[in-house]
Amino acid sequence: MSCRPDRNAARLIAALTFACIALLAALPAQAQDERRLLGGPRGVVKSANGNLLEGMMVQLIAQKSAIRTTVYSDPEGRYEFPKLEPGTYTLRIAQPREYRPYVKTAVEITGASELPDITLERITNSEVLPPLPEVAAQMTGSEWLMNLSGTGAEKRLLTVNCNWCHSYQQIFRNHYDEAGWSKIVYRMIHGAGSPLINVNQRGRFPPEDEARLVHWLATVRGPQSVNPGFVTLPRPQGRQTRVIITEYELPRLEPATHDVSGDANGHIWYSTHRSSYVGRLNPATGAVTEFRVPPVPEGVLPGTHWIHVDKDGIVWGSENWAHSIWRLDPKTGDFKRIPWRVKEAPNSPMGGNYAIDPDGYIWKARDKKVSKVNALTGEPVLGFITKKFAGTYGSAISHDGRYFGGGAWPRDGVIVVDTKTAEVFEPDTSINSGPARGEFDPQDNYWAGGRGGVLVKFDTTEKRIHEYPLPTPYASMYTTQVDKNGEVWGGEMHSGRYFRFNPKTELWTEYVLPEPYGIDRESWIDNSTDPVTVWYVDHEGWIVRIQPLE
Amino acid sequence: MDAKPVQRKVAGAIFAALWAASWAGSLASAQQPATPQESREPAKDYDQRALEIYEFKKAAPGGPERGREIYYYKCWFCHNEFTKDIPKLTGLYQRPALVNGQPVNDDTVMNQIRNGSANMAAYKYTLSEADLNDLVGFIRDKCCWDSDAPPLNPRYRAR
Repeated sequence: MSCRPDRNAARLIAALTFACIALLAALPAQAQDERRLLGGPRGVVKSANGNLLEGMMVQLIAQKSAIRTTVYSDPEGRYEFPKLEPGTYTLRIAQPREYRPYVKTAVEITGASELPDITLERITNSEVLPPLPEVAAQMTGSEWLMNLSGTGAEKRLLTVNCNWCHSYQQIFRNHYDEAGWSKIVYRMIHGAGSPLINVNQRGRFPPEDEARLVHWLATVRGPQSVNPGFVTLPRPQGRQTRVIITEYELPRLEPATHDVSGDANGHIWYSTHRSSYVGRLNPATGAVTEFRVPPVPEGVLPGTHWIHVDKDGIVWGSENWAHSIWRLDPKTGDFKRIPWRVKEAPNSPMGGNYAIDPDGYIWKARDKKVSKVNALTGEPVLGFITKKFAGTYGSAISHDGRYFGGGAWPRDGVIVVDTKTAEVFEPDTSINSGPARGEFDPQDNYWAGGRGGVLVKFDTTEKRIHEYPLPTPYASMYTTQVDKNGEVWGGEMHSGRYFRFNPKTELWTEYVLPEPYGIDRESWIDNSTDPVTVWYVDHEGWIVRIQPLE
Repeated sequence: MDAKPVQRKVAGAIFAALWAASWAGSLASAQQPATPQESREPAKDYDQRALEIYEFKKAAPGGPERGREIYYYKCWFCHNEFTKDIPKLTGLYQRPALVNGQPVNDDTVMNQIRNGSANMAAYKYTLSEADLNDLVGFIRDKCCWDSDAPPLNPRYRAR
């Protein structure tokens, strides 16, 4: 009797089993490799004692264009850049924090070359970082607040009232006596908008709170106060590291950059809300074309708040201090101004954030009315009366033009209008949630970023509010955008992070930015890529592109 | 014979030799051309924009251009082109006196900034002497801010 056939069958089964196991084992590895196959320079980051470091921000700055590309090291300390233009670069670690600065200039990049290992030396063996200026400068607003003394109420007073116009670093790098803080806080609290030109008798919050804030600032940032030692937020891990961040310099300093909007050519338009210029970035070269908005009346601050490129490539902007809407045809460079009838005095904000519907009408909510306005004349053509809230800070229109949405101003709530049924919804949101600007998702739900650090959703089917607090303490929001997949994106002001929220899983991903700010007033999502590409302009003055790898 | 002068001389000679050796070494290293990939680690990395911002060094490391940046953050929000009830600082040095009656010169302007007034915070706890020198240099020679033409960004290359 021969047992050969059985043996062959057993061999075949064993071989197939082995092949299957090998294939199954290889699949995730291949998927991971594909994800990592970016085709640019790569290398390893480790500490001086040989530990491989995850979540380090490795950055190359192109000498020719000043474009900064940042990638993140994985658990094995490995990083990989996308394909970069050959040339000379500066290689550095962004925000080394507990490590000494690492900078190598004149690094020649020619392709997918392996760069020498980056070895980082700690500046201290302690977990608490020393209060040196170069360390303090890397701290986010959240970290400053984590490390300064004070009650939760004192810190909350600051985070819900002082969060939109500047970084917290701009506050905490200063020292004044109580009388000095009192004068500065008075100007900030009573001055209109961010320019503070018109001063109102009535402040943004009650006098007793103003006094409490002044006293706390004089305590933690008084003449004798020293910088605290810094306990820091964790470095990025896992999914947070699978992203490429690109930063673009802009031609001018201190422009108070505000919004971005993309055009059909892939160019990114940005507004500057305390200067006469707006600009168009060519991401391929880093070159910016500036457009000078025609002069505003004598005695009025120039500046563009909202900027939007419509489906025909026409660029729209709002002048928050000069009180008009402008329209720019980029082909001819011609600006046309549309008068915007508002009650406010020049140099005080007119509520400068609008939306354009698919038919080209501008929408806004002011004076207890949601209005549809002829964009070329400024004349209202349709209105919906509100009962509870006087107006909104932001304005959004759903993709089909059916819904209007905006965060109520100055109270906590949202206004949503169903233009098909003429229903007006004015739900309250939680105390100090402060929803402001936002966007509709593909299911017509309205999402808004709240200055209290809360992401707010108005579900148009359930007709109710859902709130999602940011994971990082002391972070704020100003706006949010929704991509084609329904994921929600926005800058976390003061935490140096940019969030991504999946409503289906309720999972947050926080991408840590190379600079510790994240002051995003209006992002723009390029849905033509997969995964999507997200753009924002940091108020500190550079444009940021976020390319998640998954 | 007292041994101390001899010890001092020996110690002095050793110190001089060590100093000369270290000076020669630093000279040699300074003369050696730096090769790519071998840049020294800076004490501070000003490619971290946050550090430039923290130290008011976006426009320049020092001088009136840095003073312009300090002016924008510390002075402009009151002393700007549009606010009506606060003295404008354009042409300050051509005026006969400050609002407090003092003559206009670097010392009096600096003192005004240091000590403030009934309506102005005292900046002596927050601005260093270097900050004040740069700021006063700007106020004297280049003042003031022009919202129609913000300063150019030296980092921007694609001009």
